[in-house]
Amino acid sequence: MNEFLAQVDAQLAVQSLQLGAGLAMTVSAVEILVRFQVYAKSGILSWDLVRRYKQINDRPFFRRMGDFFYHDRRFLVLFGIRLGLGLGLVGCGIWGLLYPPLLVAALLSSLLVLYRAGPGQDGSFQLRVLILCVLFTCSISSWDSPPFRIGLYFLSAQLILSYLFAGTAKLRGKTWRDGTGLIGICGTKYHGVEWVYKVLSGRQRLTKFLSWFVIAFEVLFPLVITGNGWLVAGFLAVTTLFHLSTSFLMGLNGFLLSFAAAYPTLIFCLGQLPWASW
Amino acid sequence: MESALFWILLVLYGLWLLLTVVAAVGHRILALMRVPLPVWALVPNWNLFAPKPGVTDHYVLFRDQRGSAEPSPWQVAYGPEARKWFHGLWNPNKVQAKAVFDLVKQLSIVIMEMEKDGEEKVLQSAPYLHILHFVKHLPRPEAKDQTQFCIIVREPAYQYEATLLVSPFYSL
Repeated sequence: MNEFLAQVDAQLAVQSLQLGAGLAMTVSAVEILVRFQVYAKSGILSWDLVRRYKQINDRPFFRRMGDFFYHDRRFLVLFGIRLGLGLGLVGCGIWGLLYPPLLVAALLSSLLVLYRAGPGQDGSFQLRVLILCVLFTCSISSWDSPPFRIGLYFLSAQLILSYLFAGTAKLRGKTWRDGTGLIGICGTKYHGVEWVYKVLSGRQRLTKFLSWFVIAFEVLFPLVITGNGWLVAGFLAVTTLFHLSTSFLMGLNGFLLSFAAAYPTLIFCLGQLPWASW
Repeated sequence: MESALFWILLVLYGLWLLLTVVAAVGHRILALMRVPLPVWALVPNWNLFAPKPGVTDHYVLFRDQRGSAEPSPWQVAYGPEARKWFHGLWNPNKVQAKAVFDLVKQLSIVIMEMEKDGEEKVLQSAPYLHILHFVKHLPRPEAKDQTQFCIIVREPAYQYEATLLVSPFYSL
């Protein structure tokens, strides 16, 4: 196991980040292009309404910027551009290139989408913005220099915090602790699946166990900083299965690509710890 | 040059991490700081599905009226789609589904505060206007004069169903 982890270097970390972020950006851009009606003038997230929601009418700069970029056709074009940028990132990820203009364009387009989004924002998008920012700062630094590495350390810290905070927030929720929250999610059409709901309903012990299992691995995830190879591999295997299951059972398809793309970065950064076992 | 970049990035990423921790520990502290809007959006919120998980399905129904005739039967303007195996790879409907989910959640908060602020605040709230806009712009095979919508909230696992809101009629 330690030999396997030791093979993860900065090159692999950066390639994986570009591949994951690029694939996720590509899929998400196509999804929005085929359902653009949501953002159109007559859609539920029409800019005219989001503008009101954001209360930016008293901020002339942001209002003018928004009115320019978020005009129906320009916003549609932006997603066409994002599709190209996503494919470009995938290509760069495969060939191991870091191209600053591509990364800055991907980052700026993501910031424009993030600022426009209002309601309906996807949680995995947050991590992708962090990834693009880190890739950009890596691209303007000398290879494997301190400024290059600091972004990777930052991303690893965010990844650890993401599980820790998700776990502690669940620990605060009564319905997570007694397992009824999990069955509640599975029972919905929006986030659940009928067959899973049927399997879990009436099995209180199993639901409670699964609920506590999720809480436990999220809260204990920071233990990866012990640098124990088996522990790190174990946690990453569990989180990968977790994201895989939320993708297919809950329809949250952006999370797996975004989070798994950052795992090689985490392994690389943990490997720099003096006490790491690989 | 390298050294300057290192220190700039150290401060930038350090602040970003600090804001992430503050946002997770207490939103109120961050709110007090009144950071300009675009910066807010960059601070990740990692409390995914917690502490209260999303256990509700939301349905937006509408009915139209022409002249003084009886209103049409209620029809579904939006309802969550049943899970398909390919949603793990391809799920374009999630954009609208998440929008409705977030808007109804926000609207529920506005409605809870209604006793304090009055009904007028609900009818002029942003989430309400988003849903009204959506319903008014639904494709209709024939011209109608007025429309009305209602929001149904279901928690299937707990056998709970309630009408969150029934709007007045609006001109089309």
